[in-house]
Amino acid sequence: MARLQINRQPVDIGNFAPHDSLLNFLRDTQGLTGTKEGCGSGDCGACTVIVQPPADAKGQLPAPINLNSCITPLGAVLDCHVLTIEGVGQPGNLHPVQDAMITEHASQCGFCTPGFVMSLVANQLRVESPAALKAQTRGNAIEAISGNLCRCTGYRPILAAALASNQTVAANPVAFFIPEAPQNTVAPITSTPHQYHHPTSLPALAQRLKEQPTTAATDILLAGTTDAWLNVTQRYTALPSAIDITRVPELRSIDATDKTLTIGAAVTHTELLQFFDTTTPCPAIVAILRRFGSPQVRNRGTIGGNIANASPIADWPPLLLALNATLNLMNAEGVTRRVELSDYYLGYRQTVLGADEFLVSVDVPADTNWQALIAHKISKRIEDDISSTMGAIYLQQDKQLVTTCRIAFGGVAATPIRLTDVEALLLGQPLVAANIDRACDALGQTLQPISDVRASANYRRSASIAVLRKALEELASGDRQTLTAGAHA
Amino acid sequence: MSHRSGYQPSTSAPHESATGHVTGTAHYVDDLPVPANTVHVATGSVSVPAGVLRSMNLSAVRSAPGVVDVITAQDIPGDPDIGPVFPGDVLLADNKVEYAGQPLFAVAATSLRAAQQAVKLAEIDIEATTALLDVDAALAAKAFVMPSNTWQRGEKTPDQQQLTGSLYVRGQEHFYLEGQIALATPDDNGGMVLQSSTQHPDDIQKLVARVLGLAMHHVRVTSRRMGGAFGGKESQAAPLACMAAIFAHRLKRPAKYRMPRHDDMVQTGKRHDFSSSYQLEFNNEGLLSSADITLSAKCGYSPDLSDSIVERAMFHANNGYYFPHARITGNRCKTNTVSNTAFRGFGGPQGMLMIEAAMDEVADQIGADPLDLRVRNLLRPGANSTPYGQEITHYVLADLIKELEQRSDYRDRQKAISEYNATSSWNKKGLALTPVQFGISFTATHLNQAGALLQVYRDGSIDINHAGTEMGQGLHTKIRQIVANAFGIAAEHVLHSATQSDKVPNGSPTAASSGSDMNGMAALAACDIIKARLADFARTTLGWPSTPLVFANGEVHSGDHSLKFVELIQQAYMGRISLSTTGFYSTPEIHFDKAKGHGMPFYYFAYGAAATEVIIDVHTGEYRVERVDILQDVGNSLNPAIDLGQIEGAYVQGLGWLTTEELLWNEAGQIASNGPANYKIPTALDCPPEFNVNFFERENPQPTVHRSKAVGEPPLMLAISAWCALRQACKAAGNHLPPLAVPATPEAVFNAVQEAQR
Repeated sequence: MARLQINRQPVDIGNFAPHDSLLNFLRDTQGLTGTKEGCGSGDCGACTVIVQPPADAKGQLPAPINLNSCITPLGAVLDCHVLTIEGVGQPGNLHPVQDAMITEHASQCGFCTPGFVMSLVANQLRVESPAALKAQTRGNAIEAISGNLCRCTGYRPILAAALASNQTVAANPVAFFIPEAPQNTVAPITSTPHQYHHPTSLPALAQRLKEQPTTAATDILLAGTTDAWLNVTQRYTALPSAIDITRVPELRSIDATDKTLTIGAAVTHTELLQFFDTTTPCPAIVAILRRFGSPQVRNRGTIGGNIANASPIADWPPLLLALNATLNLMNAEGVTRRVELSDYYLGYRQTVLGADEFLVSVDVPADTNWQALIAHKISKRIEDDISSTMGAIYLQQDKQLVTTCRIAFGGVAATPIRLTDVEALLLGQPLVAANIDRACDALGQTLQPISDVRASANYRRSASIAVLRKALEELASGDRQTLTAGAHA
Repeated sequence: MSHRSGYQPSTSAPHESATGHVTGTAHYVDDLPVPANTVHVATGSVSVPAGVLRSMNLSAVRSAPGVVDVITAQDIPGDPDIGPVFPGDVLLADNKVEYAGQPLFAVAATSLRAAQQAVKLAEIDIEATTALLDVDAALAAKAFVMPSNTWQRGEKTPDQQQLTGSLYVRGQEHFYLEGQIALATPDDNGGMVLQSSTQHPDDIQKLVARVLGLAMHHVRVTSRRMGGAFGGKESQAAPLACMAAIFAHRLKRPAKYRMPRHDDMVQTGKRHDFSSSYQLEFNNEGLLSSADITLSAKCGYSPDLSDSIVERAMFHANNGYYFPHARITGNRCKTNTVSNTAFRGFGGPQGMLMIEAAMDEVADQIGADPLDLRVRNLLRPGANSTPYGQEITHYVLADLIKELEQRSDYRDRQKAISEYNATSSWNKKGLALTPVQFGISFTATHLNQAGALLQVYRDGSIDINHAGTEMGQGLHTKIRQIVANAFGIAAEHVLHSATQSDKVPNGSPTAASSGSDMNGMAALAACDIIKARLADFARTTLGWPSTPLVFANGEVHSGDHSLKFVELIQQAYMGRISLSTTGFYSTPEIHFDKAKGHGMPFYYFAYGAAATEVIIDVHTGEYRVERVDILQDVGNSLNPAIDLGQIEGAYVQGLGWLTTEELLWNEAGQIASNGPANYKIPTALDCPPEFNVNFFERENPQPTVHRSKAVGEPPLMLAISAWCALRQACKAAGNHLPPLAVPATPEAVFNAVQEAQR
């Protein structure tokens, strides 16, 4: 029975386990060995493929995405159209991206090359118009391949190939539009015996969870799997069953009311990047999201996953703490409750989430002044790296006095933290040097970071102080000056 | 579109596998179809860095689902030691564990997943023993994998000024995108056939034969291409091939051993950390009179290739500078860590970085521009002998630096940077121009030999084979151009088949940047033999005059006579002329007395220089590389596009080593940077936005193949300019040149700024 399409052909998946990865299915079962495993953890992009998801509940066809097939469950692409390098172009019938990669001498060992081709093709598929594609800059090309590692070329010729092939495709866009909507030959989801479940409503999700009484929700619920799947690829954990929440419409929407902006837990970082770039502009969030993982990770990873797995180094929690966010939780009985994000984290990888509870959405107050948020992330490498420290400061002034101030940091404690003591020193005060010094001193005394492979405790503390100082001095002077902001421009 | 033509030397032919790369149709070992009964290998280990095995219970491993076979050191039929040059690298630890993650047993199962799940079930009891985890501990315990040595020339006399310094240089993970892998298939004659991702098929052949207790002719090894290697598949490919071969031998079925990235980062060697110290004497102009240098490498638990790696660090401790008096000591420290190995530059980069760091300190001390100080100290007529006695006869660096200084607008930009730094408080800039003089030849003299097998088929098509391996560097593309050019035919008539131990025997590793130099000359020698036979045939059988044959445009001429190449070949075949031959090359002139530290270890030097400009954030230590200008001496380029790719790629790889790639171990002796999530190689954003690379147009005075020069390793060291520039920017944030850690992570830059402001 056909359950997905690969390279325009319907494919019968047959029996599969919830922990089977898309990559292994492509390579071992389908013999599509052009897709490579470089790391098995979503860090190198050698396994990149393009996925056209099925139409959503409203019949809308989402944009195709590139993703890391090594950390994508096979079950996650049921009913999708998967495009691999074999479907992009073959010897004698090359896609313009492939042709440009040859002309520009952009492959050396060639192992990473199919992944780069896929990311560049995905970039072209997502651009809204040929004119926009034609106008893409070197910065756009860098962003498109920021989730692909090459150890041989130093990237210069790959960027050249990206820009050259954009021109070719822009001149003849119809010829090179590859993915197609899944056809109705694809069978309905409910008719196979596998244990990878795709509930399509919130009640169905709760009901499915209720039928799994012995398992904690966090062990069985899957969203973007950019973190969860490392259990499978690095620790070889078996999953007897899985509940994929990414097709629950209530978890997939962003809704604005006069009181709140409500973001569904399964909204992806890519969708939020677009939202905060265009619908509700917030430069601070956009700058952080552009360095958040990679396009492949942002296309799959969700805001809910970033919050709920309680990682102390996640980048959304500091932003959301500074934005005074509230979480909406639900349990398997369908009972909901609201928790302030600042009350959500109990300790290292511990939260108030009950065993049968899951995150539904995040509320941010509707009266948020999105321009009042400043965020700065420090990491060893600028692209696709985990923060050594990440600070978010939401501050408003009136008549030279601070009227609102919320300061939050990630990477410097066992959980993301809000610094209310530091905030108190600034509230009601003018942003003058003495007050800035006092706040920075207080921050330094409050933080108790650890030393690890990413940074020392001393640097984390010092750099966090620098982040706060820089933000406050910028606010005081109105002069924004950072090195890594606009890195792709 | 067509990508044919242009296969002559000095033209930019695309990589011979480019179409295969971009379409995913180029096969790597893991892509080869295998029979359904193939077993998959994983190894089990403990996480203590030193200990003695008390007991090991593998019954749960044996009974785990999918497990077919389990072996320990006792089950190795032949010699369990797979050291490439010196003994010490055991395939499976017997009763002594010498690094965290060292394999103690191996499993073959019906899938990789089953094998990986099974190895976690072992019950292992280890009595932990004292571990030497770093260079200082090894030096204190006088623990060395090979003896230390010292080269000395002249006697030190006090000069006007002195400088004492030290530098700790961290190692580097290769992070080839294709992890280590081998596939072993038993043949029907008691022998073994291997597909291996290796730079050294001959070594795989030797070691597989040894662990199986077979003669070498029973083992055949093929390496078609590697998904990157960088030195990491010179000796480190062997454990995989040997382990797979043992299972294939025992089970009489194919065995594949592919290391997942985590295992690869734990169990395979890396670039060595080096701890260096130096004492320099110089006059008030900064002209060196004496250098006393000690280089101590973190070798890990076994010799592997460390003897030669430390020696190459010693060879490059003077980079391109003249030391009237020199005393250079190399220590090969034994530590309870994975055994470190070859990595592009092979110790050279660590030696060179040390002296370049010292040069900046001398310049700072006497108040000179660092470039002026460097130029002043270059090897030059009358001061042309390296510390190991090789005399420089071609003075390239002074001219090369002068040209780069002009191309990069060095002086005006230094002025502009000073002005910028005077007014900018958030950010500071730095610019540094540093040279590279890299010796070309294996310093183990016997490795400087190469063989080729040339086969002309009677339809005029040619198969060229040699012992060099393809790891992305374009060797096969260059060899194809060389052969096509020799016969005056289009390159599509020349095919390069996979490197195979039964086609060309006793091959040296494809390493030391020697691939096209040596294999190109061997291929050319084979071409000359066939051409001589054809000339003889044309004269004696066809009655052509004895003037030399001219091969051009698919035709062969002599006097008034001419034939199409393919026609001449057909006639020679009918005339019963042998149309296949081997070719052989051994590098002339070189010699080195290891005991005295004196001789001519290098056939020639490859030169280059780079100017790098950076900007730093003084508050956070974050930085960006803004502009890079490079001038590299590649002789007559065999393929400018490939050489450009080597230079750019090497620079960025070197930049990673010196900036974001931080190789760290924890206090328990386990590698802390054990995956791409915490070991950060450069991304596209780290590619310099302004990246001007040019060749220094000058042919190689030595008669190398088409007077070209080696290009694989030398440009890696151009990235030293970036580290020096970062240090200059840190200085600009304070009042003196501070120490800067290697790699210069944002944290390291932050610390250096703090130090500069002290």
